[in-house]
Amino acid sequence: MPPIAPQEFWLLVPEIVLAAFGMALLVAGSIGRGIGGRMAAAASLVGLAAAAVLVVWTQGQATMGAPILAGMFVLDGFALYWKVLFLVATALTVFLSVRFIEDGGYRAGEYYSLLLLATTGMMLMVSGFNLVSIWISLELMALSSYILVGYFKFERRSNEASLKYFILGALSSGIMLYGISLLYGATHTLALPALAGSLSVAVLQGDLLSTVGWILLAVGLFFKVSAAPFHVWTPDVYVGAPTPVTGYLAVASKAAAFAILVRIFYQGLAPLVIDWQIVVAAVATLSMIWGNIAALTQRNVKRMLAYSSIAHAGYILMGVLAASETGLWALMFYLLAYTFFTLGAFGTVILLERREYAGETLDDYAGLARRAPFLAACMLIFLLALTGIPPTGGFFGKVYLFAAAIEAGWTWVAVIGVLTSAISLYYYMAVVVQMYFKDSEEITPIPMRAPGLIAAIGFCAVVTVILGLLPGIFVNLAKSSILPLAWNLL
Amino acid sequence: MQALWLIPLLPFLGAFLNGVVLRNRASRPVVTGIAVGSVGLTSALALFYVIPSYLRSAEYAAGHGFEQVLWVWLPAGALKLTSGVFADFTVDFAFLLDPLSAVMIFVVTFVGFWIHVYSVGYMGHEEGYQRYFAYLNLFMGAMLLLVLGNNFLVMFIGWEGVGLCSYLLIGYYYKEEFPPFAGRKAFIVNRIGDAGFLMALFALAATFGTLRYTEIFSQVAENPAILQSPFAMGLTLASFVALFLFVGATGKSAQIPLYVWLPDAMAGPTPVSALIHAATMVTAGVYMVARANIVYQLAPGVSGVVAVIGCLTAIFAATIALAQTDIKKVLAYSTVSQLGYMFLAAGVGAYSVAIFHLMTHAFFKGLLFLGSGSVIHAVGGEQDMRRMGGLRKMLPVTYWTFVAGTMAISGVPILSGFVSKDQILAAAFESHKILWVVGLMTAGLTAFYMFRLLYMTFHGEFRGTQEERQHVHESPPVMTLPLIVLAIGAVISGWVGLPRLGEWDWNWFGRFLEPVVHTVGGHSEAHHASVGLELTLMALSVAVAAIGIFFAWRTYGGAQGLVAGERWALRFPGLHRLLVNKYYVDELYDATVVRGTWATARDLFRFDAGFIDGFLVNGSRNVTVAAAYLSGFFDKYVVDGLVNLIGWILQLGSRVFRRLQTGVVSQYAMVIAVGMFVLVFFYVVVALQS
Repeated sequence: MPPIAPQEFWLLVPEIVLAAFGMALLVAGSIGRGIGGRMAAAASLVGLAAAAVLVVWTQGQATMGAPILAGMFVLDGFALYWKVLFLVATALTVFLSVRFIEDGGYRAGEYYSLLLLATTGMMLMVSGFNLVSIWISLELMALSSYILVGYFKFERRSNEASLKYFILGALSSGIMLYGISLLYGATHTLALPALAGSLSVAVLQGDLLSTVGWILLAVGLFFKVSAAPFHVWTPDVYVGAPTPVTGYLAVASKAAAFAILVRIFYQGLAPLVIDWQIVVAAVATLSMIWGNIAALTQRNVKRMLAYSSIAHAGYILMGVLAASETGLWALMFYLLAYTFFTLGAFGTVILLERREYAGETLDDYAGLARRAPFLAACMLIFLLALTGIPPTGGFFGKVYLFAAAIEAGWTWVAVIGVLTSAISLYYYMAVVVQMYFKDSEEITPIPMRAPGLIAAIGFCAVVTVILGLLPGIFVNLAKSSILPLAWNLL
Repeated sequence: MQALWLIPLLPFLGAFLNGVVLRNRASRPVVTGIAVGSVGLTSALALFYVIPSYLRSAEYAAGHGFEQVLWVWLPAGALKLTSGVFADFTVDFAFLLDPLSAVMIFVVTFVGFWIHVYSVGYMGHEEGYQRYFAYLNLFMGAMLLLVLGNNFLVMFIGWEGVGLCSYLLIGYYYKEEFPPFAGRKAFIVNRIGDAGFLMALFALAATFGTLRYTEIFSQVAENPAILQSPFAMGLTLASFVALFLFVGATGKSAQIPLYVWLPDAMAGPTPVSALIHAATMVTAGVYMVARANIVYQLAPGVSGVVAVIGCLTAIFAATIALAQTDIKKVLAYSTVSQLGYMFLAAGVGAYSVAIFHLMTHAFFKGLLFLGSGSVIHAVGGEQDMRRMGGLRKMLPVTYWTFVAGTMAISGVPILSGFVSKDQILAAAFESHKILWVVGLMTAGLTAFYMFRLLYMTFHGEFRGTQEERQHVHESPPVMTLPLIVLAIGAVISGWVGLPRLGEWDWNWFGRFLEPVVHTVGGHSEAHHASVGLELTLMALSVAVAAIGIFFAWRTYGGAQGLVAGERWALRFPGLHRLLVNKYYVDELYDATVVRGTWATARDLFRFDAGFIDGFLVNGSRNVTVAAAYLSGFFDKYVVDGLVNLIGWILQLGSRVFRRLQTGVVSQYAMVIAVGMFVLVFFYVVVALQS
């Protein structure tokens, strides 16, 4: 192991600062009556902004693509892209949370602290270049998430979701760790580049140990991106969790898991591409079918969005499946767009939610276009994007993903993707029908009393449309951020 | 020159402010300031900075355009799965400033600005003042996008944008019955043309892998054979593209057979008629043909079609205008007729002359429409010329500017319309004598109906009631100033492109456009007619115009009122009825296309309701009334069709999946474990076998 120069730790300063903000909030939250909700939210936004600035700054300091800290981490364009995305997603989640936490009457300090710590985990994970550092970062993210899901501790649904998430999460972490240990046994290394080298030899020898090892590792990752059949936790957890946390899990957590899944598959497992493509194709297909069909009969919007998130995992896996540069940037573009329209949709649910979980069933959306025209218009944009209809980012995202799959010769998977997208139109448009064509008994305008939340929803809607009108800019961004990278696969 | 991107942006910004941000929240002066200010700024920017700096630039000196790429709109490689030219298909959001688009932005911003000023007075008392200006600014932005795009796709956005604004503004008085109908008609008829435009774009993109003008045209210039290869429907690529682009042009620029929407579009406010339906939007088709002139040069057959359609439209619309009594209807048919002239010029290959006439027409027809608006304003909304007359004394400014416009369009020498029309006729003469003869006859008819309009409106005695007479007043300066400015333009704008007479070549305009409309394959556009022939043709067209004016004076001049005109109508009752009813084309379309569509829709509905629902579903239900529950089940799911079956299967699947979601953690863990074991088992078996 090469010696570590102390100044190399400077390169992790964004993560360190973010973690420091998180811990400071934890302390501030437990002194006396704790810290006020708005105060804590403002502090976390400051922390996120500082981290964003530092991320860009450290990127300039490091040699692009060269491993640091004894090969544990790497700073490259790919990591930069995701880190900025996580920070933006977390900032939006903060905007989504303020009123929700206030109304819930829970202490705010710990909540934002956990949010920042989970984000720190994601940022470290996407920089990870070694299975150990990746796994530890993943656990930091996961453990914070378990508590966040159960944050409304006086509500049964929240408790139940948290416990389920924890048990199944522990199971999947165990499976993943077991896979990692088998891989280590087979190859004597955990660093991604070295792993690829050893595996290419092992492949020739038909090594059973490494085969079981990578499958178990993949199962753990599929669990995190909630791809079928490892998605079973998703509906219950999404429904039970406080809605801003659901949005955070559906967006940031999923994006982080996909980022590291691609990193591991494209770099560490690159020699096994023929093998894992079959697995990914099967899992993607099953996710698209299962998610979309199960969503059809849901009357609860949060539950419907949970199944939709499973189906989207299937679409996004097509980018992995392609095992090509197109697949990679298509995946990155899709998750960028997905972040905004999914968080926007959850934001709309939050605005409609009141105590006792009203605003979650489809009927609560009846006549929304009259009661809150702005909100209904934004929701319409998000639902169009989720279905993949122009002029939204969802349309181009799907086009690129399907194109990548077809280009790589996986036409039948893309065909299933298109067909299941058509099915998804039914349940997304069911909400639109409620909003625009049904009348509700209540006609009083919905009070728009959370300016931060409304601004966040409007921002998400605008970005969703911009991504649909000017996809070129963002595609080039994604393309350029994978360029200086030595992908073993590409 | 670098500020080019601001030119379309400013009007869009104005529309955004008035239409969204400050909607119902701004006072009239603020609305006016934003709307007129944004267009004023953009025209000042265009006229005093962007165009002059382009004229001084190296690009202009070298005969090139200046291209400004704002962003990559559709990046290359997105469609990599399609092989061939699409592999690198990329579309930029980019602008092109070259002599052609410079002329267009000059016309659009200059005329557009003065019409905005005029609107402040004309629309001053109307409801929805802010809505009006938001739409008008939106139109300006879209129109500038149309003419500034450096590729066909940006042009298409502008094309659709102006169509939308046209629809919105025709239906501006949406509380009345007719305007929304006219708006819909315009929209639907235009969509037919747009479909043709899109076909042409698909063909271009599929062949060249790009939609950028300079790339397509340079590829063609290098290798004209690309365009002359057979493409589809027995046409060469050039003919296919040219034909379908022209289909688009007939929609937007109101040519036979798609002209029917334009006369009805007069339901919109008069300044809108002046700006959109006379000066700018309706000339977009001419601009497009001139822009794609290389394609047309390589498709002589289609160019012939363009010339013939233009020529026919010119005389056809001119004859209709003879018998109309609504002041705006006369001008509307006159516009259709003048657009026909422009297509005639483009069809015979005189592209710069077509654009020249476009420019002079923008001045004099914009002026005439604004003048008619001033008249309508003065007589309290009356549009029927039979109830006007003798307004000369009461509306002196309107009258004298209107005289300038009428003389210009009628072809009185040295006025702008004379200069440009004469060159069209000269070009037609060199191409085919019949085109020239019809064009010349149209010129005579034009002089007649325009002076008829002038006499009926301004001369003789006032034919309205005494009460109406007392209300007649000259328009305020905010309306008469634009009239004066445009009248000056109508008189002098032709002087930049005087026809070439032997050694004397004052045709600066033609030389300016030369880089854009240069010919492929040698033969030059410049006419080499002898001075004598040129002068003879000129004298003939002056004579024809004089005859038209003379007849108009004999019939409608002086104090005789409508008597002589009605006598003519009585002498040829059939012809008169035919013209008044516009050759019954609307009725014909109604009887065939419109009713046909309705009838098809109704038949389909009847088939649905009667045959499928009544016979199949109900009939089989009656049969199975006595049958067992099982066959009823069968009936419901099989006869009602595959669609329901699929839906049912999906619902069933959904319920099955729902069942799997028990909420019991141990079962979830089981699902995960089973999934894991299936994968491992699969691979261990595969690995052991290999």
